[in-house]
Amino acid sequence: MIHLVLLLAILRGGALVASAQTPPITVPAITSPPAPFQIRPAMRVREPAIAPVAQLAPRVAPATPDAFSALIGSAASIDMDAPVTARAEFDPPTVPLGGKSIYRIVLTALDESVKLPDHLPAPDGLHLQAGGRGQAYQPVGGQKLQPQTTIIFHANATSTGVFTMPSFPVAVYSKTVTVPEARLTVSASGTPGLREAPHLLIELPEGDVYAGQTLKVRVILLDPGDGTLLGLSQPHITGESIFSEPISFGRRETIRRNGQAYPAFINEVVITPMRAGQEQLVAQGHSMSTRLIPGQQAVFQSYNALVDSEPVTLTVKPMPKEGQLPGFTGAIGAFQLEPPKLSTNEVRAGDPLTLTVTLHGDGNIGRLTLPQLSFLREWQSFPPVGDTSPSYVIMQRGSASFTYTLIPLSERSKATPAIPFSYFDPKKGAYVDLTIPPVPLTVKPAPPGTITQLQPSPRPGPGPDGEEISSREREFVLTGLAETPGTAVGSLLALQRHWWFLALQLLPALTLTGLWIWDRRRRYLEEHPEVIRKRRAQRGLRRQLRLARRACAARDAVAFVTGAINALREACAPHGAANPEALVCADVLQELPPQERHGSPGELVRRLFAAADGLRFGGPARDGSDLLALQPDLERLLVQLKGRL
Amino acid sequence: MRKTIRAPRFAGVFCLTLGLWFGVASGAAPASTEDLFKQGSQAYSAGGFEQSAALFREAAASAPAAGTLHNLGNAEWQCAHAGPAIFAWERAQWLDPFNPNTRANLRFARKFAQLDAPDLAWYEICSTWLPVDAWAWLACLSCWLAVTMVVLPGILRWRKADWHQGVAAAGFAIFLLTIPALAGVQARSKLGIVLAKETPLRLTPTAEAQILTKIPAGETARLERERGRYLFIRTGTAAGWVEKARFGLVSASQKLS
Repeated sequence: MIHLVLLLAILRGGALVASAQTPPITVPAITSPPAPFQIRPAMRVREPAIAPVAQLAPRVAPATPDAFSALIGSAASIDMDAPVTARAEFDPPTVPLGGKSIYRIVLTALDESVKLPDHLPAPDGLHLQAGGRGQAYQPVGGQKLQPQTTIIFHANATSTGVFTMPSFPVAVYSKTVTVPEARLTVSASGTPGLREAPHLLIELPEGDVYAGQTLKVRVILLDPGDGTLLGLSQPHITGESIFSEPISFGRRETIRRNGQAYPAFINEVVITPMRAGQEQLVAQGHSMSTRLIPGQQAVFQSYNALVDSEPVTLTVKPMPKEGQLPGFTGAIGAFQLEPPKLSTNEVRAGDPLTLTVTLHGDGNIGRLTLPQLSFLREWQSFPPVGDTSPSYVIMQRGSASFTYTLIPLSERSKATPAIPFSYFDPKKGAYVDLTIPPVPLTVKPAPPGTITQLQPSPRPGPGPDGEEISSREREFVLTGLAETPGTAVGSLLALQRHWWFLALQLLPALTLTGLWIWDRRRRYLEEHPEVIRKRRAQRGLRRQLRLARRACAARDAVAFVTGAINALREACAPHGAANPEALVCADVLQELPPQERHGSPGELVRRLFAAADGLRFGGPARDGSDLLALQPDLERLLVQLKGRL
Repeated sequence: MRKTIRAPRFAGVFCLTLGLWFGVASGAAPASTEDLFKQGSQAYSAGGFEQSAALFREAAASAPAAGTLHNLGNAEWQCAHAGPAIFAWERAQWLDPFNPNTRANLRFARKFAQLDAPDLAWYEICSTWLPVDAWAWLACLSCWLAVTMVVLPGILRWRKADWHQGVAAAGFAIFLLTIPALAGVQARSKLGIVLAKETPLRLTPTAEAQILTKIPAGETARLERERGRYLFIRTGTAAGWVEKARFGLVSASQKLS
């Protein structure tokens, strides 16, 4: 995790690394912008000798490319355990009335962990305006680096006097740390011997600026000339839609401002405006200086301090849409093309070859991509592979190489295809064609059996131009229209996802289930025929009883007797598995319980059968009233017999 | 005697029902669909591709058919609408997987636009061997035929015969073979096409969400879930949320718009 933070710090362009063991250099004429870390050198005690500044200037590590490797090798880690300390100061501590000072808060903690109060407790008459904010690392011994976060405010006073910025609490790692008080003395205007607050200057290039264009912006730190300023590190530019990256080493030059020459440290920062419109740019960096340790004579301390610039407005134009040429991939600047190079000039069909294209020029070459080759019948292509170097290296080098991998599919190819490419020239305000030209080559036929399917095959008839078209070519041609719409469907939803289709499955399921149940019932009845007989007897009993009741109501004794006899037969037939019509009186009596057989029910049965025999065999005619009176007894007997079914 | 009277009556009712069903089915395709199709073809031949696409789109919306969708794809392609063109051809192939012209057009378009064909699992490939609806019918018929041949002889007290078991075994075998294809159809129902150019693939289903990548028009993706007006899709290389309007499901239940 710590190494990840370390790596992030490097990628963010951390400050210069300088250790106590680093050999000193006397004149910090050149600083190293891309160097990852800035480590404040330990206090150095100079000999109280003559020309102390000249002899014993603080050491600044040279730009050693292996600084990071050395750090990793020594297993340096970030110290997160030490208690957080806070420091506050006005730089310079004394300013003339109307002059600006920087109120600087330095905390030994990671930037993300520091939360300042919304409003600082500034005394009356002192105005604070938020400025830059940055993070650096310093060695603390034990192979550890301590994070150091600096927050600056631009201070100006409305009157002379001493302004005391009181101590106030700050939340760091969710704990409270007290920022000590600091004093600013404001003298009358024109007081001699007062120095100006350190600040950066921004120099924008001339000409129109377009969205996506890379600009080299000079960030300048004026040297007061007293030998205390040693250089500028970690320069970058912030803006709402700006991508910023340092590309050049710092250098010391003399610049002219307002007709006067000033020594200054200059670093170049590359910015890329991401959208059109007005952009407010603010430069920020760490100035490396020396200062005398208060209370000690001739003991100097080197330190770095965060400084920033006044906001500068940049007007960014949108890229023109008219006149855009094929193969434009966002290249803006001025570019030239080297003759493309082939890995080989003789290749078999189906074998890959590489085409290397090298671009030179000034612009966004560090982040440039070349266009992909569009589909071609006789070539298979892969997207170009660019240089893997960091973008600032490519920009400083001024050239980038891209490699296309191409596969000829036919021996008829005589040259590589031309690859359309264009860029936008901001000075001309127009697009410029820079098509990658074809490179002649010889393509031999592929060995038999390797790429035969790709080779032209005879067409049944000649094509429109008289040339035979291969099956592969025919394959990659848009076919004609269908002549008929085809079968229309109600929905493209798969049939199995329609609810009605699933419901339809119930139909055969229910049918088969019904058949199965029916078969089970049928088999059961076949095994138990008495069930049918009893059911049939119950039906017959109900029918004959109904007839008997009707006959009784109609005072028809003959019909009553017939119905009664038949009802008795129906009720008794199932027990003997007999045909009801075949039963005689004895059979019916047999079905009665023994005690009833000789009781009134038996008597009733005998009377009814006797009456029936009389009617059948022509006995003496009777009015039958007494027979009709037997209906209640008959019904009771039949209920009893029915209960046995 | 009763049976001889009821049989023709039942047959009449059956024929009437069938006739009504086919009448309704044929009525689903209004008569103007044919006219729209012809007008679209004429406009295409005359070079009016935008008009042709609009006519084919209208015809496909009223009565989706493989030929109409194929022609719609051609017209959209000629209008330089790669996403809608591939979408229409995929739908045409969904309905008629045997059409070589549609297949060739899809290959052509994907090669031209440098898009990958959808990466299908083996059972999804199996499901392309027949029209999607054919698998469902085949599974349904084979399953019930097998069950019937197992159950019915016993119920109807037919004398046991080898062919009963043969038909039942064949039915079960066919049914088992259709199961992977049905699973393939189900899986392919989630396939869709990115319609708009450079469609942003977002981390979360919100308009302010971080854009993970941009997907070219015509890219095939699988729909995984839905939330509000966003769909979570998975392409061959990435997964994220896209707006519903920018993604078309090949087997969408809704009508074409």
